[in-house]
Amino acid sequence: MTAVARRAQKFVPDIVALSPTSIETWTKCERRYLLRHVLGIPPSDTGISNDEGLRLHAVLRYLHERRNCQDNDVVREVLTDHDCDTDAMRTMIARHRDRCPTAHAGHRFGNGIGSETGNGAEVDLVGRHEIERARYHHRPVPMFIASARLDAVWVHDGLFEVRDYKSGGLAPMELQDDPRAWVQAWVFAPRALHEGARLQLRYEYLAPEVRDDPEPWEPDDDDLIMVEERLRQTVVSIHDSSFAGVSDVAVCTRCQYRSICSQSAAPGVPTWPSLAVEAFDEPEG
Amino acid sequence: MEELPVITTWDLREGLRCGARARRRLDGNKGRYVTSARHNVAARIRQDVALAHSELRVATASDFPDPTDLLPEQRALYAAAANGYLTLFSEVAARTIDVELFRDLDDLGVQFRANPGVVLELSDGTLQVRSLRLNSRVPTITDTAVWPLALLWHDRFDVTELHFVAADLLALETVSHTINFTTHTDAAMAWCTSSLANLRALAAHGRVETGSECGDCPFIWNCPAHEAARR
Repeated sequence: MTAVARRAQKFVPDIVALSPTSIETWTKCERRYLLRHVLGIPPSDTGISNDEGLRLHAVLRYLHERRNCQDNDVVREVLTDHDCDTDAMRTMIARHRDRCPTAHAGHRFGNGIGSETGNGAEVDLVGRHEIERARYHHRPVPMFIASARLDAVWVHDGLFEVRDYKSGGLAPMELQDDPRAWVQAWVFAPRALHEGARLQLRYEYLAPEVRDDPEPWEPDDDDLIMVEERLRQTVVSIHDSSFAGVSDVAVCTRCQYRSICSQSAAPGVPTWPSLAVEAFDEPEG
Repeated sequence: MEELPVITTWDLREGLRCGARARRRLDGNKGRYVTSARHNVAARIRQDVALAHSELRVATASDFPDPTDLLPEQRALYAAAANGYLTLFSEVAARTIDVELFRDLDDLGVQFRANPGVVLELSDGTLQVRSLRLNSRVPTITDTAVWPLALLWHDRFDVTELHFVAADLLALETVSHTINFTTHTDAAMAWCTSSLANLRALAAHGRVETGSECGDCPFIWNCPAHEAARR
């Protein structure tokens, strides 16, 4: 291991923070994980915009919390009000509609979770958006803290159903093999237990180019023990890593650190304006 | 003499959720922070800026030596930030002023601490605080960024005004705000009193909540919300 790699290892904190995003970054490129999640370096290059994904999540949240995703007229009105009434958005909402638990006949719908329901009404489908939780692993070492923010949780029919809405078009993998799902499952398992419900994770791919969602995953106790160990092993790897980059043109071309990364296969000029100005000369004398 | 519990701007912000963390802060527990490298470059820049202005002058490129103890990407960020500082603040000579970054608020039963930026006296006698940021976007100045300055230093200087500049050294953007101690101090004290009341209410009635705040919580090691992890 080089001196620079040893120096990088010293920056890894005693308690490593894991999230679905950080663990996904780790699996794609260890160098990028170091730059973004350990060193907190702001992106030096433009990346793929996630504006549409953010708008989609905001619209779904609004529809579920205040309106109704099942009503075409309401959806059109909300999309217009949010200034995003496009073919792509209409298509994604339409694809969501059939898969939404609110589409199931007989469900009386309320907001909140369990005792947090708040509206006092008797409901058998409880939904809540953008919930965030964290869970700490202390022993055996290394320690880590995993956190996840969920797009939506639906509690119904004995299920604590975690939904993640995906607006991207990448081919999905089975959830039990997806590190993002490991983090989400491990963080929210105690909450499901508290609710007396079975944990289920489901990813909804809303982009038209993805035809089928992966199968929902209901991890049992043994699965969750294995997941915790996988997360722990990931943290062991992070502590032991030399943080080598993938140095693959196909990957680096899309990376937001491609121009400053010491191992970039697609180097360029950073977009930071401060580098576009001329350096100052030393004053004479 | 009994030490007052330390409260920072972070404790007084809106949206805190965890009652356990609030209780421990107000009880004066210090906890143990996990060291993080996320602010290494920003801290180095602030340190070098303060040193550059140890005498009344403008900073020059030689005030920002290549930080060879950092990684190549951190050095690139440092170089961009140093270039940004030289671009934005090359006109007026300035001298660093050492000031206390805390104030005992005996009536409220806490010690308030904040580190709003590098405090400078400019060549024309103006007081200026430079908040140096590396976010690569246009900076903003909120009331909660301004009030700590009035709380800390309203009776510290002979002048009644202080110039606050937030500068993003990557985006080459600045915004500024003039703080008048005569008019801002009451508002700052009102903000602190009301926010502290909210923090005390959270400590008294708030539930133990987990979330992204746990990542930098100094009490994670023995937090009741994570007790299962230690069994």
